[in-house]
Amino acid sequence: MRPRGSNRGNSGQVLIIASLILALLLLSTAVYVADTQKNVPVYNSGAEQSFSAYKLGATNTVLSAVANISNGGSVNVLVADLNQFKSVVNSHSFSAMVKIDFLPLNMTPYNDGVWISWGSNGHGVSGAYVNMVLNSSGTSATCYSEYAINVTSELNVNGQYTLLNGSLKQVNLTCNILNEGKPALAQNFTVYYEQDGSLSTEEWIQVASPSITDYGNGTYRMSFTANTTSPADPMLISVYSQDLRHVFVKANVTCTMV
Amino acid sequence: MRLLKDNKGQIRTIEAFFASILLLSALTLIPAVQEHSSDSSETLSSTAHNILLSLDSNGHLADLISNKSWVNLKSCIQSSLSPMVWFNLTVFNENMTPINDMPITSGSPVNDRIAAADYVCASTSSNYAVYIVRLQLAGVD
Repeated sequence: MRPRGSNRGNSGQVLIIASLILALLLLSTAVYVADTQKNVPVYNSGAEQSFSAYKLGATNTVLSAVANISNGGSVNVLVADLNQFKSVVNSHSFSAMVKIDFLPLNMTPYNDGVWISWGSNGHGVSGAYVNMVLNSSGTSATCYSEYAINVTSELNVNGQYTLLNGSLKQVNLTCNILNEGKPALAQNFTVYYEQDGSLSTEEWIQVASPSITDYGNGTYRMSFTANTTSPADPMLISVYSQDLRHVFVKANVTCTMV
Repeated sequence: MRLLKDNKGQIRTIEAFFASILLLSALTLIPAVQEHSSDSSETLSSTAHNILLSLDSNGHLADLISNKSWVNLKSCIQSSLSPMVWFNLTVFNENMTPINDMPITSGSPVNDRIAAADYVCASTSSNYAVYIVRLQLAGVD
């Protein structure tokens, strides 16, 4: 037989302790949830956040300059645009002290950071290369980065032709558009051929409506008929293209007869 | 031997100990709640910045501004935010003159605590321009 007194005296206390433990458990869960909510990965504000924005802004600036230069603008546009961007950032960065320095690459094939090469070997390039230094100091963080902005639009053209009737020729071209070495899409194409196949007297004739097949991976196939002065004339083709970034590239190629 | 038999006092001590832990943990919750409310404006400001950054990632933001597509710009911001969040967007030129000729907002603010983010947006088109975009946000408490 168990003593009566001890049973009666402890049962209530055990219940209270159990309820206290339960309350503690609930409270600790609440604290855990509150802490987890606080630690939700939110992109860090201040210097770091502005930093990404300035990097993107600088890249967009170089891209705009390449679009301008490739469409006939002056090479000085690159430095002028970057200076404009720098001055706006300096005067409107409130949450962090931002310092931007840039140096356009002056090494072959770049000249003042710009590379325009619209060759006759079926390869055309419009690009720019700028070394950047970004330093952003905010109240919570300081960021420093040295990096390079490389904007390159390339056009590769291969061509073949077959003689049809007299000097009428069926021309097939394969064009590849690349942005920073990766396949990209074109906005438009304009195709020309040289009437007598000689560059001593340039008489480029625009192909009215070439048939263009877009493979969706940066490869385009074009076909059209061209009428040269004589059947023996070489088939010189010039392809003008603008990619989706409005950068103009041109490439000339001599088609092979098949 | 007597100590082992007499459990009454020990249990009360344990009870008091648990009660004090309960009180202490309740006290720790109070600053956590206060911190949460002060963090909300920072979170809104960060959200505003992230929205503008993602819109600008492919030059879309600058294109919308250059083309004065204010309605499309409003739709873009609206679709990036919860319907419970109020927003107001203003586009300035380099001289801080507003250039959006229509309000880009979701109505009247739902809260007095408004968070804002200023974003420097450079265009990618050959006609270069730099804009300062200010996105103000306010959420329901």
